[in-house]
Amino acid sequence: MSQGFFDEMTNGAADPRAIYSGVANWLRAAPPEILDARRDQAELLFRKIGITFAVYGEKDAAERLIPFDIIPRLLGGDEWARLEAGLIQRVKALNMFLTDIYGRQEILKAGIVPPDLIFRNECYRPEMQGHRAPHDIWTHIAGIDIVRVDDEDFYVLEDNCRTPSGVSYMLENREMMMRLLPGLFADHAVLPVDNYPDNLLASLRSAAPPHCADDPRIVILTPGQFNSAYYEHSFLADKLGVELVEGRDLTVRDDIVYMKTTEGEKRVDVIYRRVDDDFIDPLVFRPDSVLGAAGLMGAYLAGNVTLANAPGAGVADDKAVYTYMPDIIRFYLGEEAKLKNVATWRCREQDALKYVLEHLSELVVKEVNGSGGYGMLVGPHASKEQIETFRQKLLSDPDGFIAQPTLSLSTCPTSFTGGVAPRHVDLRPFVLSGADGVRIVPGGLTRVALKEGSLVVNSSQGGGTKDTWVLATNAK
Amino acid sequence: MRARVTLQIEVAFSEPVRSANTLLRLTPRPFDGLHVLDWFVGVEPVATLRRIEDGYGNMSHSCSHAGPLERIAITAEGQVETQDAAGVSRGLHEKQPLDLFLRHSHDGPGEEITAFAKSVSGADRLSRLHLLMGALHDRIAFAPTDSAPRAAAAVFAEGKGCAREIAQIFVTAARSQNIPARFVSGLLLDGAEGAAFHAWAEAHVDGIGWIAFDGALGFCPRDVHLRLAHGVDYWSAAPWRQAFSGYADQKVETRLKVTAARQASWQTQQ
Repeated sequence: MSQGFFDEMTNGAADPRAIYSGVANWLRAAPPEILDARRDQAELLFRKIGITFAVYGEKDAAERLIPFDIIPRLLGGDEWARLEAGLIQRVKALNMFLTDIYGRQEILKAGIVPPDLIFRNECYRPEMQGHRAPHDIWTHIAGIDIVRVDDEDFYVLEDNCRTPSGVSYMLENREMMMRLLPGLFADHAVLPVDNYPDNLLASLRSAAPPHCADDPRIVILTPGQFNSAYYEHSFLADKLGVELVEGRDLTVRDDIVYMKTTEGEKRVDVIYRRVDDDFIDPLVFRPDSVLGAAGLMGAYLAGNVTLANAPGAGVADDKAVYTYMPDIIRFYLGEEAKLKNVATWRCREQDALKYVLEHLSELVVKEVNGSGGYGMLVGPHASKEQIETFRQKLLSDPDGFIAQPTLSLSTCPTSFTGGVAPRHVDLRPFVLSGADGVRIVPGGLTRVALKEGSLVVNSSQGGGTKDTWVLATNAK
Repeated sequence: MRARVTLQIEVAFSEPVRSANTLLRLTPRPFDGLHVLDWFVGVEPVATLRRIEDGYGNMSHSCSHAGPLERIAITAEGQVETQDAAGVSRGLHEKQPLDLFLRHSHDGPGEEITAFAKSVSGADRLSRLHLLMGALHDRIAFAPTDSAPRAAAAVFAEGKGCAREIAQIFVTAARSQNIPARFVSGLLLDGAEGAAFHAWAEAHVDGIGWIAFDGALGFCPRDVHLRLAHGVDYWSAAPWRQAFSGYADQKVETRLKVTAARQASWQTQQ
């Protein structure tokens, strides 16, 4: 067992934690050949289904398989209840924050969040200023990345308010486990996640423009098959029973969006778009984009279509704004944040920058606008040259970075050829906001850093996934 | 000066296209240096023009055309009275905070432009901006064109650019020195541009407000500049943008006609 980390199965003791006793017994009893065989079967099945993702900047990896680990990650019902309450609180505050930023800007006037952090951020969209998103929902689908360091607290690592991906893995991983290890699954009272598509559909329906008739037409807008998450886009369209469209399938006439079909044009009311802001409308954003539809923003601003998530929502998932989340929650809800934030140095502040530069080899440094684990320095694992490069980057653009302590992420048992070993994990639950409230299925995507000692769980950086079992029984 | 302005944009498609969407920022908003007596925007084939004030406070119109479509003609026309306000753009409806106009584009201002801006020093911000405009005017040869603008760094390296490109360099340079700056598109009423559309920049000086600088011509806009729109960059202030679906080449012809009207204020006319 690795030293100094919270292992979710053993917590450093000889006996496993109560909720893990079933898994521990199974691991003890199962011959290594069985585990090996199940692993091979899992890989084969994933290949057959064709769940792949593309890694940007890598030549031969257009269609790579995310490694799947067959040992489930367990959470007790009591742990989940705490986490769920924190997620609901956080996402409510995020939506209120966005409504405020594009509206009256009370939080800026109150001096809680520095205005330059918002307005100098490329994700702030001046085009949205003064506009109210339908039902004041900006981030219909949020992915909140969570880590644990002990058996008590959950920490939020980052908020993803734009187009968080990975939910298809959450659903496929569950199917896989039920097929591969039906006995183990049956021995545990695992709460279901398979109603996620129904929840998503209900949330999107509720977010339709207020004037819309009973049955809004919903589509998923994908950038196309070369996007790294294309599999997920088509998967979700299939599960939701809605059309998967590309920009060229849409046309906007007199501020109304139509989808071209073999039966003529059909009016579209809600677009779950997996296309970034920059690309959704060549008349308003990038003129060279062919991934969106010309006039879409006009239709949106006229209130004739709902875009999920709303344009400009990305300003809330900025890593520097993240550091203010406890204040943001207090400001709008008058409550203390139920989920903790990781201590963060804002390099834009003189003292913080000084500290960070002196402790680069201990810290994790992240680009304020980065995502997917790109543009990140993990001090303890970095070479001298990498540290030097980051020192220069920090000096030339301190505003562009934040730093955090290297967290002792919790570990979970993970199966490899030749045995089982603990590996670091995080969790991305998906939080759905609709006009009728917040919906979360119990679970999420557990990502696991497969390399020994590695803390980077991003699939683009060699991470794998696990099924997350939220149990009806309590951990304590 | 008082002038009657007629601007025409003619778009011809080599093959009929299925549809076209157009966004126009061709309606000047009055401010201390501009009195708009009357103004009209029209499009042919006739389509509904939807008027919307954009996020910056510019007046924009949008329209859509269903095909088959071979040509679109856009007209903006009216009578305006401009006043020499020494470049100060006061009295505009401001919807965005100064911080927005300190934002850098994704690839940043670039070392060369930053070094160039840094090398220009002045007694105060205002004089520094004047010197920056002069230095830019000397450094970049003005070559009017109506084609899409290139990246600021590339134009700066080449040393030759159109008004929009020079304005974008001015904006980039000012922001690199932490001076709020924005892009302005408009028309030149004396026909000096040689292209229909002109562009310049505005920079903010505390105590005075937004001041316009025309790096292409090398002076602060006076009464020959007719201001149409501003934004964080060229694309957000572009006088018109269009997208169409269909396989065709697009040929655009723009014409600007300005007739000087007798200098007279409303009062004396009545």
